[in-house]
Amino acid sequence: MKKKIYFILIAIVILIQFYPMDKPTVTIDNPNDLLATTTVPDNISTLLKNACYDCHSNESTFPWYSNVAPVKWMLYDHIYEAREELNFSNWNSLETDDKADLLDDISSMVLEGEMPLKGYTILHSEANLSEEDRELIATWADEMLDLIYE
Amino acid sequence: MKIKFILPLFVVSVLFALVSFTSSLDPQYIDISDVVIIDIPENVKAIIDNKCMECHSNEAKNGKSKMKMNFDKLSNGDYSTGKVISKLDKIVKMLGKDKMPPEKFLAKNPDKKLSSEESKLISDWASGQSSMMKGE
Repeated sequence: MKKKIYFILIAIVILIQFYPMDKPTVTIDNPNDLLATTTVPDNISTLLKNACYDCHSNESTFPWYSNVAPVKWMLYDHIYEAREELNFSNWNSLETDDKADLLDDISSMVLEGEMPLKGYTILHSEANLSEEDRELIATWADEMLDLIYE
Repeated sequence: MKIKFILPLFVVSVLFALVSFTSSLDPQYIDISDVVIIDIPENVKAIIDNKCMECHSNEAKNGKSKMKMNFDKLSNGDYSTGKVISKLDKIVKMLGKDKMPPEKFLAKNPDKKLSSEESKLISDWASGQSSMMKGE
């Protein structure tokens, strides 16, 4: 009886792997990327790369489990949504007002702990930002925001 | 012995005095040109006071909503220019999408719903202020 249940479970897991879903495309060379087009202090660019770029850029990296259903369904969806909200790879093609809007969001969401998502930081310790890291990112975003309208 | 003790103390305090003196000369401590005080007309302020301040003021309990938008900071000059502009634009955006006050909040506080006139008053004021600040 127990064996049967295991067998069915394994069969289901194998079967769902065949359910098609487009993997988010990865491009490394992005001419409009924030870090490629804007002067960002080294410590900030490291923090952004470690804590944000996996979902908020075209440079996502995919660990093995991220390509296994059902994890991949959730994860791919998250990445599509994240890129739509904010994609650092397209930064320089954004309108001034959109940049300002996003910088303000970055500052408050990172400071408030809303970002990076908990589910992500559990698996990526380098994205687990300390209070000081959060302050650094928020201060940087606020300063950028001021430069935009100068 | 006593002198040995007092001398370093003296040196340290002179250093401290020097540091605080030079930093008081540093322009970033006395420059107030960055302070932005924006003008909120009485009729707009009345609506904001009544319908937004529960979550978007210094006294608000919810850290998240307070962090994203704080009308006290907006009117006290606690936000820098860029920040004020982005907050004003955000007000226009959120009201345009009918996202504020949030539905969850309205379910418990139906009297806080903005009428379309109120929403337009706030929105027009915010977009006017913002364009003015952008020099449009």
